[in-house]
Amino acid sequence: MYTEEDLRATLGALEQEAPDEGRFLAGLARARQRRTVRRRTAGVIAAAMATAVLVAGAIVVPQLVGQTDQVAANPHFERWRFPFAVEDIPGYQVIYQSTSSAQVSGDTPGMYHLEILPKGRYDPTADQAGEPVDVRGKHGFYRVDMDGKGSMPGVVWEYAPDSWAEVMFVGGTSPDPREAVLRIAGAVRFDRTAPLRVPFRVGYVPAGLQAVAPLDISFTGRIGAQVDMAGNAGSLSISAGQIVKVTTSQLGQPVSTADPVTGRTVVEISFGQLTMRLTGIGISTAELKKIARSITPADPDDRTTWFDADKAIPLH
Amino acid sequence: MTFEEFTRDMLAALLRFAVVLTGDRGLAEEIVQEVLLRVYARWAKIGALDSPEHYVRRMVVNEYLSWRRRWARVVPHADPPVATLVPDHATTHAERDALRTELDKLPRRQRTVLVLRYYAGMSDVEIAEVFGCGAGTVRGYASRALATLRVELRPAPVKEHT
Repeated sequence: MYTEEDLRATLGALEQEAPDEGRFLAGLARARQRRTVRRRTAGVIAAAMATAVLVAGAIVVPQLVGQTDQVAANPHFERWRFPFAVEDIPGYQVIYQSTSSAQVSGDTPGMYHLEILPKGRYDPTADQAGEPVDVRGKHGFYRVDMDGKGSMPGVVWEYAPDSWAEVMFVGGTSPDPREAVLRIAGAVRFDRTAPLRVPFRVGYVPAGLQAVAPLDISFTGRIGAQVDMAGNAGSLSISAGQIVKVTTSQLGQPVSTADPVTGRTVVEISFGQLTMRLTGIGISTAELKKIARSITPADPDDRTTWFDADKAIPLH
Repeated sequence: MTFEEFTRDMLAALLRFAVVLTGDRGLAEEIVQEVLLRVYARWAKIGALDSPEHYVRRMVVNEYLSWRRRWARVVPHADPPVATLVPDHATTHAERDALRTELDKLPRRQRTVLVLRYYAGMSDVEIAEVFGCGAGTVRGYASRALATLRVELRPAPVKEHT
């Protein structure tokens, strides 16, 4: 038998497992940005779908590609590589990278968040009030208060004409944040790309689909990756993740459910440590299951088994 | 108060509450993130409330109760370590681990009632408000959960009649 005090103590001890605030804040900032982009992308896809029905087969993909943050027009993205690289920095570790951002952690609490700002979308006026700095020979500005509201030190620099990037320190304490953000910014290389590998390979996707958003992957702790595609016949989103509880009867078998919010069909297929999730518009459940069955999983814990992204996802 | 100020002041407590509520760091992070994204979008109204923190905590509870295998991305997570028998292991920790394992098996509503009562210190009436049900229903959830966990309730103090 337990007592109520045992229960209080057990629940109280769970507090120790609360996530790190700094990393959470960085994730929240990224999610806010992603949600904005995703909402815009979803709107574009929905509009394109309506257009496709009206014009019966008109080619809408180029419109989609042209309207989604110029991402698909990025040649590095087309080659499925990260369009920048972060050099090794003693005392720091890159713990997350997408095609437009990265997160770096150091020895002290907190997180350094790198964001590659969409070309032509950044207005440097406010940041020009900061301290002029040099980042690998490019001009930039250091500010102790990047968001203008709290105390987020960071640096923003113009790595190419009208192309800016920023590194911000969020949610923690750093003995010398200026030195740290400048050091990390200096390690960002735009003259190099980094290979992008994913823990799965998809053998089949319906013809005519093109990628419409950057492949976003996290490889710290639980793996997460997502690719969004669209074409004349519809749109498709494939994501991979690690989940904790999987019933054995589901292993390797696609299961369809309905998304409780959108009502759309969701097909999931679990391979133990890795689960793939597929959703689409204009793609039947049977087709989603066919795609799911064509997936070959890798071992998420062993990167040597992963696949190069350009070979893992057949785009036509 | 701005959304940023609210987040700065309340985030740590929200994350602690969420991890106790869910027993899962990754899920706690996802739920708090989802809730804060919605709070941000409606901050003009939520920020004007007398007690936005109570409202947001309630959103966290509702999000947890309605969570339907939402997809997790970019959330570091680890399986809880499998308990192993170690001869000299402190009995207290072993019992706490065992109790936690039992807690993880409870239905969400029952677990939530226990967390709100024994961690957040809320009365059954306050919990009933969160759930949108009667206090009797809350006591029903609690008694079933406590029976499952084999938690012995401290006898109520005997009133002395003079």
